Amino acid sequence: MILDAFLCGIDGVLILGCKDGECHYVTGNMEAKNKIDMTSRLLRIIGIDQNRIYFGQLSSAEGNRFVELAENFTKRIKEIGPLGTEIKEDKEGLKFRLEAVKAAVEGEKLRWVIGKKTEFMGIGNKYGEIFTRHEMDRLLDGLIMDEVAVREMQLLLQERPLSVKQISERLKIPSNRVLRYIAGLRRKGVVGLERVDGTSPLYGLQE
Amino acid sequence: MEDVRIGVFVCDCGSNIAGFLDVPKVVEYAKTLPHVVFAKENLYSCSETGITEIKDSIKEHALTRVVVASCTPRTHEPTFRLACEEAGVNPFYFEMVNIREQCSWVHMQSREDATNKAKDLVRIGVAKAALLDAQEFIVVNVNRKALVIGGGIAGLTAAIALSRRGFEVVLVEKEKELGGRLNDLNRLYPYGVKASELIGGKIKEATSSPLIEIHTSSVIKNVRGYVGNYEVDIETGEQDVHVSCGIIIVATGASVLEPKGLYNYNGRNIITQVELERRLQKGKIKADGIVMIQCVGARTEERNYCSRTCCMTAVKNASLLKEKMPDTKVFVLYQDMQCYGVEGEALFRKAKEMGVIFVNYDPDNPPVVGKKSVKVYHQLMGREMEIECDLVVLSTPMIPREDTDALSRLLRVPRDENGFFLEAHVKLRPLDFATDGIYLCGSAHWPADTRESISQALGAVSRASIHLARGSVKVDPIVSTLEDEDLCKGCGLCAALCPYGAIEIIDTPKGKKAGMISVACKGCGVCGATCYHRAIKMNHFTDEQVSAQIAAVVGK
Repeated sequence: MILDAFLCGIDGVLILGCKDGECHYVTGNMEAKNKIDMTSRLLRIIGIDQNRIYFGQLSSAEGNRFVELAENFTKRIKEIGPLGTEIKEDKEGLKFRLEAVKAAVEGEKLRWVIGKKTEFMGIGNKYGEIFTRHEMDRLLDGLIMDEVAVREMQLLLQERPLSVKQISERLKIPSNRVLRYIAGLRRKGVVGLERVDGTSPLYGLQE
Repeated sequence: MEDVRIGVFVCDCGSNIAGFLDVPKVVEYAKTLPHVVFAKENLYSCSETGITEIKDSIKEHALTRVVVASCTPRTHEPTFRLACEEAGVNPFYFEMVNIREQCSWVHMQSREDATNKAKDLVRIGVAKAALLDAQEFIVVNVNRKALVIGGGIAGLTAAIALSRRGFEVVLVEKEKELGGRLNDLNRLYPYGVKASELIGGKIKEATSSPLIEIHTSSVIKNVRGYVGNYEVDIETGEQDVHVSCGIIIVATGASVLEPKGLYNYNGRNIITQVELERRLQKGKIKADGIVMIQCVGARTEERNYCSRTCCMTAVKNASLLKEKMPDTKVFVLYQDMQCYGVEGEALFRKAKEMGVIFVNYDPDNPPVVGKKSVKVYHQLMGREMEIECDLVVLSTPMIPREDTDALSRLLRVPRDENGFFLEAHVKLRPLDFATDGIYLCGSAHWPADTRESISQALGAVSRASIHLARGSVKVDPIVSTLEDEDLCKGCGLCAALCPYGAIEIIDTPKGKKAGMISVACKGCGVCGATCYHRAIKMNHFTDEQVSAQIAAVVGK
């Protein structure tokens, strides 16, 4: 939904929730916080100013704080300028990247990680290992970088089959990383060898 | 697709809205929006006249969706839904737009901006209205049997109150005997009632009631189901018992901290208040000097809460000892005294009058317990004093029972940062869990004294009786549904995240699927937002509806 807003051309999204522990839906604000945190990390990966998303927490009795948050946010967004000023992409390029981010947040991998975040940081994973915030953030950042790249590749391959070199040039990702992603996607049967053009194999999406 | 014919009604709210923005302009603007076939200004949409106008317009213009731009849905949404229903339009084909609290009232100084914002809000509301679905209320039958977990003062009180109302009750107690904490206590403040008499009476009534089925030495093994229809397995030591019930009351109480390693605790001449009570029960106490130390193991970094009942326990026991042995010196070393309520204050005053000496100590410079004396720094005198004594009594806090964690997982209800059970809302729903049909009373929730446990138990019973007496639960259909069973892979992420236990993974002929328990669902949307197969739909807040609203924000 947040990404829908950006895709609609909105320049900033302010999300407000209750304070920790005061959610009407018990854990809702924590889940939202985790998801929004991840989304702003994703934006940072594609070069969008992460201040375009802000999650504010306040109670319904704090009218003044609401005004303050809304005014500060509007001011900040005005300073940053219209969506896309911070990256060297045209409108189509921006849309492409946002679509990739949207596919990433809607995907299985990130939803599991975010869904389990509170549990991992509270009572630990299956092996009882508890993750610190630092470990969790590092894990997330790594995953996010891979996810966005993979989604961008998938979007790119939707148009036509491409070679590793071509993908690497289009997405500005080193070819060894592209190759690693291709290998992963081939294992899952998402991507397959389409044909060989001269000496370079072309990869395309599998039906 | 059916013909979507939207009617928009913009309310003046007297001058509350019309005084600060241009309502006729908003009405004219609404007429230009897609699917809107009729728009009208009402002086008061919620008044008899306004409602009649809405109903007449529905019939006259064959409206299939209704949008009212007025105040917050908190006030009149039910009124308008009813009006729609009476005019033959499904009540969920109604959408409310707030142009009062969120517009006219906060933009009183800028009429033009307020008018433009109202137009934006109406456009967003209309965008959603066009995509609304019809819904039916969900009704589920309630099994009129109750389960009470815990046979202490709270659990017994609850079970008896339920049985007196004619409901069948199953009472489960972990220990061999009923009675709980009160079995260890001597007399109860404020009136000095014997604990054994109070609890004995309750046990007698519970055991002789034909409506109460009691299982002692038993624990809850498994809980399934939802409000009105819980299925519980109880391990009784002999044969497991299965119970079907409509509601569950949790009254499992608390433990008392054993102060191992604190103030040279040894259980002989340095004992806890509970051990003192046991000695008082038997009447065997001889001492020339007694020192009580408050907040032992409480209000520390590890356990930062106040156990609330220990101050009054110390005041009560100090007075009892002084009464029995007027020549014995009794000291109470405290950080702060918590003697709330008229009777508490009176007892505290009486204890002082009787000669009990209260000395304030600094937690950073706590008392030191020696062999025959206690040393404490007297803050007002500014020097250390040494009190000779032959008995030291430590006031330790109530702590969550060890099995609280296991039970919270079985019932899928939350605990607070100290490990006690957590209510749905501290002020609005203090005796309910967030999960419908499960209630909470006594010290399982927070250290409570006997009076509080009793009143909480009666309160929980009264809350539970709403469902039991009605025999059915009717809930808003604004819940999550498994829209596309084929898309669901039964991964279980939604079930793991649901804070209400409203989703269970079930076996179907098509494999594992999410089973949505609509009646237990509160519509928070966590499941819908997490399903990466897009199999879950949030009724009344679908992806399509919300996306349309977002698009309408910019789509002028």
